[in-house]
Amino acid sequence: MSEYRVVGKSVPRVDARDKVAGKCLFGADIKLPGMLQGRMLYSTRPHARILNIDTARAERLPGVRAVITGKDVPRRRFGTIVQDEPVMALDKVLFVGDRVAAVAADSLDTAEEAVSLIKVEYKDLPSLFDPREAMKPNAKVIHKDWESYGKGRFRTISDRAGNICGHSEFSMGDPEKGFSEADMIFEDEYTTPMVHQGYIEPHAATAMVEPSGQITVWSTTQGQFELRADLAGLFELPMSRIKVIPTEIGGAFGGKIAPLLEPACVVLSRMTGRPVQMVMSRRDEQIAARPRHPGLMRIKTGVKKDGTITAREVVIILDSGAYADFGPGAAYAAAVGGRGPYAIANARMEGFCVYTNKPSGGSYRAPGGPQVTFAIESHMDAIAEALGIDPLEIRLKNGLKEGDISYIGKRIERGALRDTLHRAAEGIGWGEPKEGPNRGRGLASAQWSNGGAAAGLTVKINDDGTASVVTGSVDATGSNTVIAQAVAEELNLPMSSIQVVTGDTDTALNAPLTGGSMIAYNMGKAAMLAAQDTRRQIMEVAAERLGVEQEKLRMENGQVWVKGEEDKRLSLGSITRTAQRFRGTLIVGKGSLPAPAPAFMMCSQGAEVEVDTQTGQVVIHKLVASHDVGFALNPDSVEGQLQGGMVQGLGAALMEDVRLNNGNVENPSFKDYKIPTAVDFPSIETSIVEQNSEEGPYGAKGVGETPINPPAAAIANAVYDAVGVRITDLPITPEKILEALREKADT
Amino acid sequence: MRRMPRFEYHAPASAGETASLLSEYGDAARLIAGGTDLLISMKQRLSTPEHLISLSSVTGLDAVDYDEKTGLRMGAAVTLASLTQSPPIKDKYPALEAAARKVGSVQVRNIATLGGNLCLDTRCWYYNQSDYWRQSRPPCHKTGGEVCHVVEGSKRCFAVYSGDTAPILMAMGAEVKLMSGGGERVISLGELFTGDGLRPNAVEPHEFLSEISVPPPAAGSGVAYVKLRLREEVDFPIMGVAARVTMSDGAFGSAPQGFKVVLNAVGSAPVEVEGAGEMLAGKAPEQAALEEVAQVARASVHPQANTAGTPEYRRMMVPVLVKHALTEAAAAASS
Ligand SMILES: Cc1cc2nc3c(=O)[nH]c(=O)nc-3n(C[C@H](O)[C@H](O)[C@H](O)COP(=O)(O)OP(=O)(O)OC[C@H]3O[C@@H](n4cnc5c(N)ncnc54)[C@H](O)[C@@H]3O)c2cc1C
Ligand code: SF4
Repeated sequence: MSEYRVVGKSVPRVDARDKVAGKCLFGADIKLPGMLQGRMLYSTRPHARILNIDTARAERLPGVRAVITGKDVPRRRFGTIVQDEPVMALDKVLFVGDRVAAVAADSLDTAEEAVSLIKVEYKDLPSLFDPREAMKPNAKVIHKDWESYGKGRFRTISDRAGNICGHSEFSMGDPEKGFSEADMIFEDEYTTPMVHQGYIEPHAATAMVEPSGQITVWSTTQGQFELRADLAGLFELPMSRIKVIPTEIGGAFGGKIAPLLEPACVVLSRMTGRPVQMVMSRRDEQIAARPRHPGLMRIKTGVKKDGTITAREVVIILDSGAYADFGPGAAYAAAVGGRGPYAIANARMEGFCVYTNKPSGGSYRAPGGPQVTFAIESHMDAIAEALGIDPLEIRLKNGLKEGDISYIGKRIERGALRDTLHRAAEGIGWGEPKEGPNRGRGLASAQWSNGGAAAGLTVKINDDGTASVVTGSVDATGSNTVIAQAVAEELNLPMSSIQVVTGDTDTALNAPLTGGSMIAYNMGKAAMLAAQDTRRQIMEVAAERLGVEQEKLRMENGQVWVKGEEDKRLSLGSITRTAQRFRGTLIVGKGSLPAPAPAFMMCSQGAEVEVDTQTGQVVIHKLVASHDVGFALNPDSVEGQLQGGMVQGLGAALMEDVRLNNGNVENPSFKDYKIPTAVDFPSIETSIVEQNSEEGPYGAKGVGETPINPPAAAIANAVYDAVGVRITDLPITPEKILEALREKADT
Repeated sequence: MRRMPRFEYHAPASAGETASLLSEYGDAARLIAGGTDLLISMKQRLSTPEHLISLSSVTGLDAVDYDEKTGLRMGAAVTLASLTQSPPIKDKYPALEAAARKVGSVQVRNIATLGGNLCLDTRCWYYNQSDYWRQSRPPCHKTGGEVCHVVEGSKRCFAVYSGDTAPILMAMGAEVKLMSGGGERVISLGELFTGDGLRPNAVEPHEFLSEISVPPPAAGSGVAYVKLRLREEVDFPIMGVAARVTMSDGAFGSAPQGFKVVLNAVGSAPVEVEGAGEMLAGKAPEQAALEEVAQVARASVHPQANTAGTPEYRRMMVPVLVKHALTEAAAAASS
């Protein structure tokens, strides 16, 4: 049991009531007087030169206030890693879905109609759809000015050349020697398709440019500070001229970082002098947002007969699509973690991210992780099978243990992988007799690390002793609840006395964007520090007023008491008011921290499935996720993250696939792009392992991303266990299973 | 382009009014029932009627009656949700209830109607797309062009009919009533389907489907509909099979008319497997008997690459689902 009062407890999310009641205001709910509706025209060609854009008919349509093309927008390009993406296509379109023009009109219908009146003359160019072709030295270069592109905010990551927009390489030990010491060498290739985050709320942005030029933007962004930096860069303005207000966010999973709409809204608002709003349709989302990169993984492992891994080589090729976005980061992450959660002394890992004429990938939950984990963990089972070793044993044997060093350079203190493996195995009845034929069990493990950024947060005590917290972090995951919990814990206040608001870029201190499993980790810590600072200030005033030493005081339930003298006490409200009146002291606590070192997380998941050998359909009977989360700040929230991540991973395992037909997304709706529904899977049992981190608040680590890594391999392994066929290309569809069964029967 | 094309909306209160509006506007009008399919195709500019004639206020068009002698009569505008809650259907036609429950999702069933489900347009990857999407290719037969993107060089359209209630109703021998200003005609449900991907049903522009009737369940008969899909909600069928069998003393009944096998979502209409009755009548309800029908069924369809599920897979699933459906129907008959 934890010694804490509020953290570590499953308190309900502070926003739960409003969300469930439909009262929450999301991006598209912003309504401003005189606001115009904007629509984007997207390219219909995968790769073409723009010969002419005729906007005359659109401009003449009554109710149309402005039409813009690449000529009207800043010439600068944006990008988190490589600044390769124009606000609107300049002379070429690079994928079906590239932004070509935009309209602002009195109504959405008029804007839609105007967009359809814009005539674009294209001259088609040969398209590149296969990254393996695109990375060949003689391939046509999609971005011919690639060398002149600037660097985005992630500076360090990788090098590039032509169509290769990201290349990272790591090597340790002596791979050649390792392979020569192996009794057997296994080589496999795995592929994963493009999949979409499937957030329910589409991107929405509203911009208002004052006559003075001051810009205000409301956005569904995951990071208002990053968005402000992007806009300041594009429009060459000081940051103080731009205010970004993050709205409530209806899901993002990494998909709401790039400024897809905001720059066009700003330009349109500047031209019309009126606020302009753009909301993407579901179709827009499916063709022109930032899904997960398709991946091709080649993996080679040398092993001793007893299963000890002597060397590994992994090459990951991610299909970047038209722009780099976070792709080079995903390729980096996939490569740097390419050994999996195993102690492998000799290894070589290489990650490529390659331009093609497809929708650009972005950063979907654990960018790079699900692709490489599917490969590593399927491969581990294939090795175990060939050596006649139990899949659980081979993982326990090679898994990172006490004293080993993880890929982020952290020494492992205790055997978290072992704990999660045992729990996941036990949860799905590993080794027990199966209830029927064609049933199988599969395990998969994974590792991940979170990030950190310099950040801060403030806590203000109100006149009645309640606390108001302003954070710069966007609450996509329940993080404002965790922030409130940390403040409640430190100030010994009830949760109901704490209000947490997400501030805009002018009112909040810097915070990282909501991603990288880092908000509870970073901002939870900032909240803890800010509340401690607040507490110090309160105690100082209270000690003075009560005339006792601070050590004699205790703070509880909105009161400060003198220990042992129960009648001597002051309320926080009274302390706050007198501090203001007599000392001119405002009780405002600030917590800030430099970028914390990342935490290292390991996990294991298990599944029991049944395969219908006639239809090829997979029915899941049991799912277990066991994760080391450091410390569960809010166990219900953690459980929600584990289940949500696992479900998304299962969707990618079994059904999700952005199907491209000559570069055109064939299934741009939730009817045809299949994300799992509530009736498709059984409930997921979760088992939390807590090995405190050094730097996280109360020992917490990150939890958002890790759970999406193992599901596909867990299912693939369970399918293999059930019917003896290994599917190496996601999703694991009935067709593929039947085909594999037929091949197996033929041989 | 506006999200929705402009149209004039009419909400007639009676069947007669509906008929006269239809004869007045003819080809310029479309009937709208639940709108769950039509409104999407209007947004996608697959359909741009100037007049929409709604069936939702037509008196009596959502009635469900059951009579021991004459059987079941359902108004065309009954919603699938109320169909699944209707006592005579739950009681006497549980397989119809089950099939209706397999349409789309709960939200869809709440507004979708039986008539709309039967008159559902055929579907294709290249057709059910936004106007924007279709711009990157020349129009195909179904959008007024001269090519087919699915079967190169084809002069015809292979769009797929995938309404989930039609096969089971056909298996049960349902008839439909078509009304117009000139009167009414009753045809078998099978005759409603033309098999033409472009114009999948025989409802004339001046007509509307007013009633669906099903004979009372015969003693010893059982029906079932099995539907294959990736997700248990929302999804259209990858393919489906309805079957009707008659049992007597643990064996299949001796009259070939007691049997029917209908394949769904493998062509432009639900197709009945010819000779199923002869192959099954009088046999022991075992795999061997079912296998023959299953293989004939498989040979009779030629699915194309235009919906979810590869053609090879859908074809491979025909015999599997035929056997499932027959087995389920036999079990229903015996219980
Ligand atoms: C997400 C989603 C999932 C779906 N899944 C399925 C599924 O699994 N299975 C399935 O079968 N369908 C599915 N559908 C399609 C559709 O919702 C159903 O077929 C529904 O039953 C159609 O009925 P409706 O009343 O909404 O028809 P409408 O959209 O109103 O009409 C459909 C067509 O029938 C015509 N029509 C309607 N009533 C009559 C009448 N009385 N006489 C003559 N013509 C008429 C209309 O003019 C129109 O051409 C799905 C739709 C969606 C949006
Ligand atoms: S089958 Fe061919 S003609 Fe018919 S809708 Fe599809 S592409 Fe068009």
